[in-house]
Amino acid sequence: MKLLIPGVFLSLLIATPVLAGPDEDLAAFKALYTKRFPSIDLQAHKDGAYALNEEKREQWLEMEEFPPYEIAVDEGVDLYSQVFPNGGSYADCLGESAPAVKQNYPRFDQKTGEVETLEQKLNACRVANDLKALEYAGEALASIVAYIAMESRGSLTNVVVPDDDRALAAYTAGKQYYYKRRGQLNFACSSCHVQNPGMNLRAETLSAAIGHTTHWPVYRGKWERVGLLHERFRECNEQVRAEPLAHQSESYRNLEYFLTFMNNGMELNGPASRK
Amino acid sequence: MAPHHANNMGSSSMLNFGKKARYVLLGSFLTMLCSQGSHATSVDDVTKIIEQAVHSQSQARSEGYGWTITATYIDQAKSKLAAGQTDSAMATAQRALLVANKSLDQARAEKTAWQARVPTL
Repeated sequence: MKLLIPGVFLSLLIATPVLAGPDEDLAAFKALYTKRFPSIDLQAHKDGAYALNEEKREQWLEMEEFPPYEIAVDEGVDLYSQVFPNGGSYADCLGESAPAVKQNYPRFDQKTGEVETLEQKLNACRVANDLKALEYAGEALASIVAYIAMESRGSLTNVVVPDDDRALAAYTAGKQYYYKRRGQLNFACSSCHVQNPGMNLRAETLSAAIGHTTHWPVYRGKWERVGLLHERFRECNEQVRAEPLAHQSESYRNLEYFLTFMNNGMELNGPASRK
Repeated sequence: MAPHHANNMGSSSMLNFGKKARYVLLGSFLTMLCSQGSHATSVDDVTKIIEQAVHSQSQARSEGYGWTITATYIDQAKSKLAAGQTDSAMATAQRALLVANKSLDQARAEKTAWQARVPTL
């Protein structure tokens, strides 16, 4: 009996991070990076690795003088502004603050009981207006999101996990995905971006997880075009030799939900360019 | 007498050695024959290993833990088998089974291991 009480107490202590809710997770996340990088303002992490490496930041700022994502944004303006054959438009579907809505996505849809991303919302809008859904890996959708991201710049990330068991389950599934090791190389997302930010992996500086969702979609030099967040998730999986999931799969949407919630309060600065 | 006796002893032990050597050679030859027989790889053996690998792979995939290398090895093993390279196909199939089982081990271990990586206040 004497051993039982401390044992139960210890088990509760160990279980705390698992049982912690979204708000506790967010507070711990912010505290981690504040402690790890005391001289870097938390908001500066919206620039990813360029907040941690001065030389690379200078190169990046030079690149941003003629941003390679500009063409995609221009195409996005045209695509977004087109009126549908039935007279509808994307703006009708996105609500009052359209097109500056990126800060509110992904969101939990209480009708379907699932996480809804901005890309899904745009395609649902097209289908509701008798148009074909756009390809999730395609450039047209990425361009529209790039334009919406540009219009949302300066807004603060504001993802909500409502008081709904299904929303909490989706958030928790995303959290688990983030911390679980996978692939032949046995890496979790957190292995690089929670355990080792600021360290080098070959020639690359590992960025902090905080700020990871603020700047999407991104023009990546290796892609030579603008791509969406789930494309990066797939690439990360492949880099650790895990089989990637489908774009907009439930697991990736839950992962995006968790990761974006961990960026609540961070300023949106997308689209952006990366190597 | 003593040297003669010693010579007799010497030729007798030489004879014994010659007999022993013949037995050893015969034994080695038989062992070689037997071992070749027992390690001959049949198409069925390889197919069985590939099936086991595919089974483990699908279990790992169902938990979101597929590894890219598993599919590569399975495809290679099938191609080699189709080309009649049975021994090489067996080696690749065994690698496929190994990595498929490792991915399953990872899926099982990570059911709880992730908890220790969550930052706390």
